[in-house]
Amino acid sequence: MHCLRVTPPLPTPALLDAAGSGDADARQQLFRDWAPVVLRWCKSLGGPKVDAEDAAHDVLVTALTRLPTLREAARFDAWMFGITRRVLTGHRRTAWVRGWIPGFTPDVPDSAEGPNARIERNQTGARVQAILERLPEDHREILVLCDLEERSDEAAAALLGVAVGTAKSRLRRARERFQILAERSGLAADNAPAALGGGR
Amino acid sequence: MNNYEDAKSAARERFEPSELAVARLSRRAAATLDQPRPSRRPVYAGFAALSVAAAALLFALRPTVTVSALAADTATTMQVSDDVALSYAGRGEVTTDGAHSRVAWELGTLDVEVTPNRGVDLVIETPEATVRVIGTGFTVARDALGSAVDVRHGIVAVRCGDGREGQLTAGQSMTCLPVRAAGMLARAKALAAGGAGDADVLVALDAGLRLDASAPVRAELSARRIRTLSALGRDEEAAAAASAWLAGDETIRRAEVEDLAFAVAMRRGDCATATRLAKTDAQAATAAACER
Repeated sequence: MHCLRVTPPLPTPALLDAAGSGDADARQQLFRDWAPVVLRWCKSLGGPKVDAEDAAHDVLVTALTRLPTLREAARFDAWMFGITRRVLTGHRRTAWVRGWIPGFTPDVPDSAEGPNARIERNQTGARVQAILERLPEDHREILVLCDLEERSDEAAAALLGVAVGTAKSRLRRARERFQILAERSGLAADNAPAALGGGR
Repeated sequence: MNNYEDAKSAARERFEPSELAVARLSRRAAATLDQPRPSRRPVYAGFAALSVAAAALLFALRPTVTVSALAADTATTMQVSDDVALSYAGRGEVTTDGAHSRVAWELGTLDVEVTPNRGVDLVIETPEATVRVIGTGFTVARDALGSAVDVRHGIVAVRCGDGREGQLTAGQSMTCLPVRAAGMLARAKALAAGGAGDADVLVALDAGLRLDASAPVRAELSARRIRTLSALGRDEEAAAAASAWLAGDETIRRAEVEDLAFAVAMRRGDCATATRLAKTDAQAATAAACER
C-alpha cells in the first residue's frame, strides 16, 4: 500500500518543551508543521456547517496551552487528533444550536473556487463531503484517515485509540455505508464503490 | 469524472487547505496565544482590578486599530490614512492604526501610493512575498503564477518566501514564486493555460518537485513532467521518468502515465517496452507490429 505524507514528523520533546515555554520560533515550527494537518482534519471531519478555520484555531490554541500535559511526545499526533475531535464536537453542537435560531445565518466562509475549470471537481468534492456528513462520526473518521489520507489500519487505530481489528471492521462497515449513500446521491456508479479509495 | 481516482482527487482537493488559509490560521492562533490570559486565583483579585483599570486607561489612550476587508471585482480605491492610498481589484485585508499599516493580500491587483518622506510604515504580505514600503508607489499582483511587484516610483524592499530579497527602484519589478509544491503545480498549470512554452512549464514542475510535497501533488507534478518532457521531444528523459514513476506504487494518474510511457516507447522504437506496457488491444496490436 502506498502512503500519503499526510503527517509531518513528530516534534521532538525539546521542541515541545520550547513551544510550551512560549518560545516563538518553536511555536512557529509547530504551526508550520501541524496547522495544515489540523485544518485538513477540521475541513474533512467538521462538515459544511462548521467553520474549519475557527475550529482549527481553537485546536491549535488548546494544544499550545495544554502542551505541558502531554505525557508522551511519541503520541503527539494522537493527542492532536483527540483535541481536534473534542473541539469539532463543540463546534458541531454550536452550529446545530445556531441552526435553530430564527434568522441566524451561520458565519461560514464561502469556500467556492473561482476558476471555471475547477467547478466540476468541486462539485464532486462537495458531494463526497455531503456523504461524509451523513455518516456516523466514527465511520467518517475512519474513512478520512484510511481512505482519504491513506493511513494504514494500524496508524488509524493508533490515532483513534482503538484496536486494529476494531479499526478494520469499522472501515469495512463505513465503506459499505458510504457506497450505499453514494449510489443514492447519484455519485456515478463507477465512482461509488471506491470513491474514497476503498479499492485498496 | 470518469473514474474513482478523479472523485478521490476532487475530495482531497476540497479538503486540502490553501497556503493562505494556513498562514492566516497560524497568524490568528499566534495572536490569540500572545494575548495575556487572566488569572483565576482570587488572591490576585485586587491586582486584577488594578490591571483592569490600567488596561482601561491604556485602551482609552491606545491608537485606534481598524481592520477592513478589501474585496472588489473592479478597481476600487481606499484611503487607509493621510499618507497611504490603495487601489485594488481582488481581495485582502488591511489593518492600520494610522501610523502603521499592514495589508494581507490574497488575490488580484493591489496598487499602493504612499506619500514619501513621512515615515510611513506599510507592509504588504502575500503568501510568497513581504513588501516593505520606503515611501513610494507600486503594485502587487498575486495570481497562480506567484506575486509580482512593480515599482512606479520610490523604493520598496521585497523579501520572497524562497529567501530571495532585494530593493526595487522605479521601473523595476520582481516576482516571488510559490513556495509550496501545490503552488508550483498551480503555476505550471497557469503557465500551460496561458500559452507559455513547455520549457517554462518544465522549470515550474521541476521546482515543485524539489519542494516538500504530499503524494497526490507529487504524483500530479511527476505525471505532468513526463508529459511535458514528451512534448519537448526529450523522449529519453521522459522514458526514464515514466519508468521510475511506474516502478512506484502510486495509483493517481497511473493510467495516463502508462499511456505516455507506451507512446514514448513506440516513438523510440523500443518495441519490447511497448509490448510490456500495452494495456489495450489496440496498443498490443501496435506493439506486435513493431516487434515484427
